[in-house]
Amino acid sequence: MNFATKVIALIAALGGFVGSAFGHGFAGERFFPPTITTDDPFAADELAFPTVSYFKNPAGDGAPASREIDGSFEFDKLIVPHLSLGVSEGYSWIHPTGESHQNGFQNLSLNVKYELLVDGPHEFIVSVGVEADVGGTGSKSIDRDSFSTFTPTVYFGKGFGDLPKSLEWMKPVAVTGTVGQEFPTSAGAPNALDWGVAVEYQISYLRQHVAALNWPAPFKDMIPLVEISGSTTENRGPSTTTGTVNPGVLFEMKYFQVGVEALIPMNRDSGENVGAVIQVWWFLDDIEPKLFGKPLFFGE
Amino acid sequence: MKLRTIAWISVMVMMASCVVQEAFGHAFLDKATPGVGATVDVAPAEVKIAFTDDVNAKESGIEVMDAAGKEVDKQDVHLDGETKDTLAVSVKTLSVGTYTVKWHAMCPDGHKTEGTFEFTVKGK
Repeated sequence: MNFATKVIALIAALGGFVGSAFGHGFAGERFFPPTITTDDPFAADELAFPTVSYFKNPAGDGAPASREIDGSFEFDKLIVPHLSLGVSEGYSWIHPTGESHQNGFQNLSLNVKYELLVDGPHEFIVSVGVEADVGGTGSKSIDRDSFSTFTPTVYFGKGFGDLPKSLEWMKPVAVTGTVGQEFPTSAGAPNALDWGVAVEYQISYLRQHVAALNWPAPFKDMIPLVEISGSTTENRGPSTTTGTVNPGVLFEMKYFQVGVEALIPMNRDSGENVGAVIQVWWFLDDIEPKLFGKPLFFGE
Repeated sequence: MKLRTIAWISVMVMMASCVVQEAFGHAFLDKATPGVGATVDVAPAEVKIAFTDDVNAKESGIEVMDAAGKEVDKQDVHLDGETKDTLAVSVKTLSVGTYTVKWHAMCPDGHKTEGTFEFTVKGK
């Protein structure tokens, strides 16, 4: 057994401690949907395509304000139990005020995620991972970073199905979040703390666990939510925090999920105009269960 | 992007969503009898759960417990009639009180789900 095989076997063995949560993101009776701007804590076979966002960038550093449309995809694959690898790529169309437009590819992004703890009865999960923005893989025309950035990240999720009966109307609430520390490979670029949280009220959980509702599809399985995501620089200049508050709704379908959110700047540094994002997540484990929803190695 | 454009995109998404009637590829509770959280006057003779997908009856189950945690079902979980997506279990004569239903289901493709809900027998 070579070293790589030993590492994979060890990770697979550790997987035995965290329960079963392949495919969709489950912790006990709770389904955690993938959210748009806050990465969910589950290692699963999933495809986000497309994600399309529109927003206005504020003027700054001598550059004029601009309108930007981004289109992207993300693909995640379970490699061994509870460990997934992901890749994402995007394309941007930028229209600076009074100047000709620019477009091009963003930097390639890779991620690895491992489910450290899944507590079914308490609908709780903690995962760890690393995201890598690969410098120089994007287009110079849209001024993408020439250096890489590595972001070790902690992910968590908590459903409130374990609340007492007196608070049963709060049981559909679920929270997911991430905290990541950016380490750029360029000495000139600041380190930054990336953070995000998503607060959901799951109508499907409400009608399956608390009270029957005769709502029509797709409303009976919709999830109103608010995401808040931001980044705070830590050195090499004054500390600034930028980010958005994103109210929206997810609609759960048999094979996919559609999400729509507004992108509201959280402060003046983040911009002054409201944008929007729409995303379709494909549940690959339901579309093709023979191919997806199970690890490549050491599956059940 | 104008507000009108965003509104149109939202409308298109909603229309696309309506095309798909089923909620999940996994088997989730779609409808239960007695209903989730319901209060009924007459004690039911069985508890029935309709799922959003077909279920493998041998790998699925329903347990009904009284407030003391004592199992009050007759452990005869079966598919309801000719259906493939509805499980039923008979229950003993239920007195007034609140009962907890715990279920687990496996789809033909192997996906597992589970859930819990309560109903109350009020009596006349």
